[in-house]
Amino acid sequence: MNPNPSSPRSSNFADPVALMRVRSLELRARTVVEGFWKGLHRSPRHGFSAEFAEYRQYVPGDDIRYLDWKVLARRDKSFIRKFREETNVRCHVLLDLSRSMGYGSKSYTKLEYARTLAATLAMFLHQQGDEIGLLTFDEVARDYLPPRHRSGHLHAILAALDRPALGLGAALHSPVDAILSRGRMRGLVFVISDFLTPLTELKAPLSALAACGHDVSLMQTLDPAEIHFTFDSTVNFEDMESGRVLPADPDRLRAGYLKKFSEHQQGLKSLCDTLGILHHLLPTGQPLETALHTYLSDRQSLGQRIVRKSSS
Amino acid sequence: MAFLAPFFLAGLAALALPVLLHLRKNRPKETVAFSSLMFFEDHPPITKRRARLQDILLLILRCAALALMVLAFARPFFPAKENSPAPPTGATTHFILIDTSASMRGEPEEKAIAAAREEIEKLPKDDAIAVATFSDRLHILLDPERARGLVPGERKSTALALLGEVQADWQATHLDDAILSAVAAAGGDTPLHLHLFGDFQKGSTLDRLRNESWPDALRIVLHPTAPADSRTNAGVQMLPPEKQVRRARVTNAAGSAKSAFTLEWSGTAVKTTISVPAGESAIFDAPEGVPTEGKVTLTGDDYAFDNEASWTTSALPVVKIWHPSPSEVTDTTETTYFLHRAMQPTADYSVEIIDTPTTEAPALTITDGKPGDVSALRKVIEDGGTALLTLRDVSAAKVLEDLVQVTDATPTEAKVKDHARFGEIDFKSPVFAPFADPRYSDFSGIRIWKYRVLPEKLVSPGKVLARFDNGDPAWLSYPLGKGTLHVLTTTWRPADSQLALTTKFAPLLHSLIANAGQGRGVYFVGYDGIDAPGIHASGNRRIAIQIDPAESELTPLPEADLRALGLPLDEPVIAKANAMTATLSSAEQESRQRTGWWLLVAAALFYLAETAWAALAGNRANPATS
Repeated sequence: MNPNPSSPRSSNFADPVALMRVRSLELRARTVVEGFWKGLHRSPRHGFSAEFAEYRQYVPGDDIRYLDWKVLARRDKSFIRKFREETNVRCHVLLDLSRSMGYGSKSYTKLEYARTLAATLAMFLHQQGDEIGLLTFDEVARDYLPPRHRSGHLHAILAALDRPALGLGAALHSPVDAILSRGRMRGLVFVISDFLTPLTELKAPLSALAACGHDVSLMQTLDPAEIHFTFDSTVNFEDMESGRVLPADPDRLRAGYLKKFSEHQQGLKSLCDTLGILHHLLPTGQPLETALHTYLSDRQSLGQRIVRKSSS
Repeated sequence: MAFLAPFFLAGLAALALPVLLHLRKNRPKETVAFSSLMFFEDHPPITKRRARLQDILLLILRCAALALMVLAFARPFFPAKENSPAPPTGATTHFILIDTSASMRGEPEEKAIAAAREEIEKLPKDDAIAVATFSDRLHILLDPERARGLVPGERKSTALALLGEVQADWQATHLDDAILSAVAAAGGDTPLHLHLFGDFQKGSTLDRLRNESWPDALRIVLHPTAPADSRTNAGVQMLPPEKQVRRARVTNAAGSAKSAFTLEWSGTAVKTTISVPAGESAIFDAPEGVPTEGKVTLTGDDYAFDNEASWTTSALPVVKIWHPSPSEVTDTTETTYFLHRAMQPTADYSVEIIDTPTTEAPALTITDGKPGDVSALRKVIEDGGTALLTLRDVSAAKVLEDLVQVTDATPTEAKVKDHARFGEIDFKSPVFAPFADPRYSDFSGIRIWKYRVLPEKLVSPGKVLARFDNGDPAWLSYPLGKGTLHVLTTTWRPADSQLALTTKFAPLLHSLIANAGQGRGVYFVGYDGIDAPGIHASGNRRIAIQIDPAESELTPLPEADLRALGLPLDEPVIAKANAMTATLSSAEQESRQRTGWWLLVAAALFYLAETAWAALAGNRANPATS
């Protein structure tokens, strides 16, 4: 279900540690986007992104002027170039700024990774001419920049992304309410968070988003230490959101942790499947370009699956 | 095992501390922030077997180190068995030393004698009892050898009878000399108990007790005469006159209760009221019209022994220095020029440099070895004079050969690379003693460009007081007849050395004058055999003798000061009359066995092991946390 994407040509910042050392968020995003573009152009699977990217499959009725003849000649497949006027895609990036996002066993935190991801998406979409909006949230919705495509908007988004995180927990219903209350136009919604929240709290807002016809993608950024629980000395674990301290011996705790974690992930995935939402796991140790390619592959397979489901 | 300070064992209760810490240590010290504890079990087990094992070893190490420290502070020792063989009866010699210095005059002396009498009564009848008094030196009344020879029945009575002869004099207290002389007089390996009776005043000299090693069998028992609770002692000393005005210095001892006194000068009816705070001194000029000879009297304090000081002739003594074959006084390259500059009049005397010997023997003779009348020089020295011969060149050593009557000895000019320095100096020698204080003892800055190396034949008759840094003799002294010949193997000419240009030069020459026994403006008891203060005849002149100002300092000497000098002080150890065993005191056993010291070493080792093990365990900590 998750076809291996071709690995993009590695840029100088394929190593996320090196990338995160770049202080400027804009420069970071630009680096990833450029690397991603290069990789995308070299990828034999380029064009998976369909309606998301500037290419989408030709369907009868599309203006033949926009058919990509080169691709047709090479791959014997019909794609059309999509221009801004035609795509009219509105994107919302929802970024979780809660404290748990501040965790990182590497030299950078999940939040740094997520910010870079959000900035990259914003720049990528902006370069395509799409309207991009940003909504940061913790327990309440914070900054809201409605989707626009005009000069300076991208910088406003990047500036908003650079603001420090203040909140404690994460509650998805506030930003979702904000989006739903502001715009009735359907569009893409990227929710970037660690989703380390009880599934019961996620279900209602995600259902609401999906029900309103938004194309929702959950980008779950997780630290490798959270995925594999790589602790082995007895320490006091302090919950970053609640402040609760629990002394624990990781060796004895690991099995239980991994089991519960796996259950949570499975539950999240099945929730997403039920709602037709793309769930994409992004371990922070993974290069962002790879993560984006994987994401595009996932979208493609999701589209196929949905198509299959609908056709069957 | 017994303990000298068993109350320290209460510190063992502190062992609970590492145990508590160990229990607490089960809870991890490090706190790691984690994104969410939602996947954690609610009550997770927090220990693991490996950690527990490590902690137990650490606990054992820590407890052991702490326990060893506590035991060390309790000063353990292994007491000698009660039934161990007793030392031979009468093996202990008790040496009774009674302070008879000036400060003991009167009531203190009576108290000391009474205390000594009481002490002797308590001593076992079989122990030997020797008796001596001390002030500036030890006066043995019954020496230990003779005391041991007495039959046991007579020992106490003999000692008690000798106490009747004890009488205070006017000397200063030389406690160091008294103790050292008594230990030397007792000799042998038999146990010796020195019983010191006196006021143990701060003015006592202790210098010679430093760095002294003491026989194991020696115990020193102090019997201080109890001073009155509030007492005042002030002393008066005459100073050399300044501009023909007589001056007296009044010193009030530290701890005195009063500070107001009166001064009365003979020949005048005026009584001056003066105020000198405790622990300080002040100088007072005599009123006009005092006679050429008289005394000043201080009143108002509790001790009379130091309340009078005399003066006599007003003229400063003149010290004559014979300097044969002088060069031009203005020639800055020669010794004579510097000699004249160094020999300025002092507060105590003035100096006259003469080039021909007079009928009166010169105080000092200084020659640089120019050919001259060696026989006259020899006669001056042998008659009791002091001479300094500086070797200006190899041929000057001929004078030395003639004086010490050594033949076929050929001195050589030293091959000095760059320069030589003074290396080894005998600061106990009278010439260099004034420089013994570390503030003045650095001669290493004086550079010597040229000197003469004397052959062994010329060195051996004398005593080397100073050497250059390569070991060659620099200063030698030769006894000749009644006098002394000093030889400096270089000179203070600028061509030879820097000596004349240094601060050491003039004090060195004046030290020679003082050693010649001349030139003092102030004379203390003991000078020329005079044993009482006042005006006395010395030779053909009259001199005023006073007591040593240090004797006026009656503040009691802290016992800790004596202990700091390493003196084996202890409580009196008297064998019980009915017991045949005489065990060493607990403190002595403890200090000999040094068990506590070894326990401390062991504790340190345990702490090292603990640190190493803790570091090892710490390295295993997981770095996977942020």
